[in-house]
Amino acid sequence: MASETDNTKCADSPKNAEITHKYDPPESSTSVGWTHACQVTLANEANPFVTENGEILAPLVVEYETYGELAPDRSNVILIAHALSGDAHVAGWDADALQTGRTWRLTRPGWWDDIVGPDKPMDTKKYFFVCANIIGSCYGTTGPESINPATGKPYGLDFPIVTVGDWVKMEAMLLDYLGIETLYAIVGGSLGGQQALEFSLAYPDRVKKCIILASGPKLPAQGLGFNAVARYCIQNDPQFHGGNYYGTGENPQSGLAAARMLAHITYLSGKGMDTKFGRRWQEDIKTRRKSFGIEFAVESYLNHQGSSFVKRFDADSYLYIIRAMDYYDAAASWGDGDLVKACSRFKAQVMIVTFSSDWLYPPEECKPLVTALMRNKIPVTYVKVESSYGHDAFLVEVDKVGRLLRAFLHSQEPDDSAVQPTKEK
Amino acid sequence: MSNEPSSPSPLPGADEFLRKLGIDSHDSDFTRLRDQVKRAIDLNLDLNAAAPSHWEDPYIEKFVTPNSSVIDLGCGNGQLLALLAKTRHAVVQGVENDEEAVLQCIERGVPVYHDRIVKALHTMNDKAYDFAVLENTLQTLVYPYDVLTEMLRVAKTVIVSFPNFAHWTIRMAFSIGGRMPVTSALPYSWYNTPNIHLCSITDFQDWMSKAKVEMVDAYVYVEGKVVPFQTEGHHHNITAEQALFILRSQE
Repeated sequence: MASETDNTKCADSPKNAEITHKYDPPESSTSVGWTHACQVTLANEANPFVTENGEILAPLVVEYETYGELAPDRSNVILIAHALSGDAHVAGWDADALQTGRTWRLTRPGWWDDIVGPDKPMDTKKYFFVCANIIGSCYGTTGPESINPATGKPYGLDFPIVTVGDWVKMEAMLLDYLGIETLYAIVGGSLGGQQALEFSLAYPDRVKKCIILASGPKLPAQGLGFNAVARYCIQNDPQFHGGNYYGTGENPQSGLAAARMLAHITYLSGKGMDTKFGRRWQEDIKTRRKSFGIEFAVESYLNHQGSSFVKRFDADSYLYIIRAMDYYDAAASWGDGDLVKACSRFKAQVMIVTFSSDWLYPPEECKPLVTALMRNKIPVTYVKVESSYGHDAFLVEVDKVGRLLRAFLHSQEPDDSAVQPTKEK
Repeated sequence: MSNEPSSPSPLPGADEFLRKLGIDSHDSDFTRLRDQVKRAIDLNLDLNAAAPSHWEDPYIEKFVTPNSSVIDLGCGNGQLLALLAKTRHAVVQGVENDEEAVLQCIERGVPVYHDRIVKALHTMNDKAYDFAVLENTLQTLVYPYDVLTEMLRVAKTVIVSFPNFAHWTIRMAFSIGGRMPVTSALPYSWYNTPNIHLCSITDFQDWMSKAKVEMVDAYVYVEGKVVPFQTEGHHHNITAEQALFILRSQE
């Protein structure tokens, strides 16, 4: 029996406020252990990658990682699409972190290690996982830091504008290279969720299950506004040099750090920040208040996020990726502005998960996608998770997200006809 | 009946009670009902075994045509939809507001929309589904009229089941016992019940005529058996614990 009144149950208790994270060590039976990234050249001058905007990219090198074993019939493949600042290193411990200079990986496993591993919600004993670093990023896939063959120097802002559509085209090319025709599932959160949606629209016959977390068919105006401020911070940093700062010994670190600090506010929620930091002072600052230094705990947190981010991320990459996030509009790409028309292409079983306090991709902004799918007679699983963790909830609410992922991935459709309904024209 | 202490004043006789309900000694139901009422009065007990949950499912299943589309509003753990997907090859969609029940649907492979029923209905196209089901949920709705109206808009056929608030045990509990009824069909106290909009079969029929709804078929759960609902020669508004109506708009 269903109650129609709103579920007012609060998910969070104060003890959850501080998440003291214990990482799964490489020798753990639930860790994928030590990992090595792979690189492949998917396009070259003879056979270039043409972007959605018609620009040429050659060569295109893609860094990717895989976990688990590919079934003989190749039916167990799950593609994970990473978010803005993510990379192909989803799970386990990077065995090559020292050689590649990615030293921050020495102290922490991949970004979704809580979810991906043996017996974890995305079980590497059952599925074969693939994750590729997106074009324009700075973790091994061709991006603005790469050498432009036309000049022999890093691209900088001469790098072509790339789109979510370009990323899923690259992902499809990678699957072709790996000999994988159909995905059992594609999974992504935030910008990764946009890729999951775009892949399912661009290649409807290549994906059986689509999981979209904390994302939507387009970024609402508020998100466009945040990204505009991020751009302003980076582009007005005196060390930006029009994006051609590579090799100058300078680098728009302050601008990128400010952009990241702002982004981190958008990843939390007001309530979540109050619970986590409140108006607490930094422990070591008690004796010298009344300055413009870092005094509140929340300032310290943001400052740390900003300064650690600039050590691992490239400012030009940040500009390219947030621009792709801005531009993404599934309705415009596939339905001449009509999301219902766009979704008529969709064939996968779909689970869309939103989080109650997410103000970057609020649940209400995702509803039009749910509605558009249902109006095409496509059965939809839509879940709104109660959480105070804001946008970050898709990474932080491990138990809830893990249960949903496990249930949706493992569930067998009661009948095949419910998987792919015949559409009425 | 509740466990509250029984009333100290003597209870009226069973015959009188039945006559007050409009059933006299010439009626075919009289003898059987009198025995039940007598026992109920003597024992102050709820004699009726609760209808098993999902008693409606086989009757809904029978009615759902193969390969049709079904939306179940307040689908709980997805039990009915899983059945219809399996045996009727129906394209199914659940709507459920309880997070735990939503998870159980996902585990069963039943697509489920996590929202309030009325909000979910507002997003749907006219006649988007062949069947809309509201199983034992009507009485929990904040806006039952809106939901029923929306169901008639989004589905060609509407299936509704609900507990009959005019069952004789309920009438007796209130009129003689003087308390809000607590029965096997409605096992909650007044202060914690999710059932906030109760109606009788006759009330529901009144809505049907007001809403210009055609009754395609109907069943009632009477004393442990499911029988076709009949307006003539029976007292289903007194004897039926639960009712299942299959409806269509008249236009």
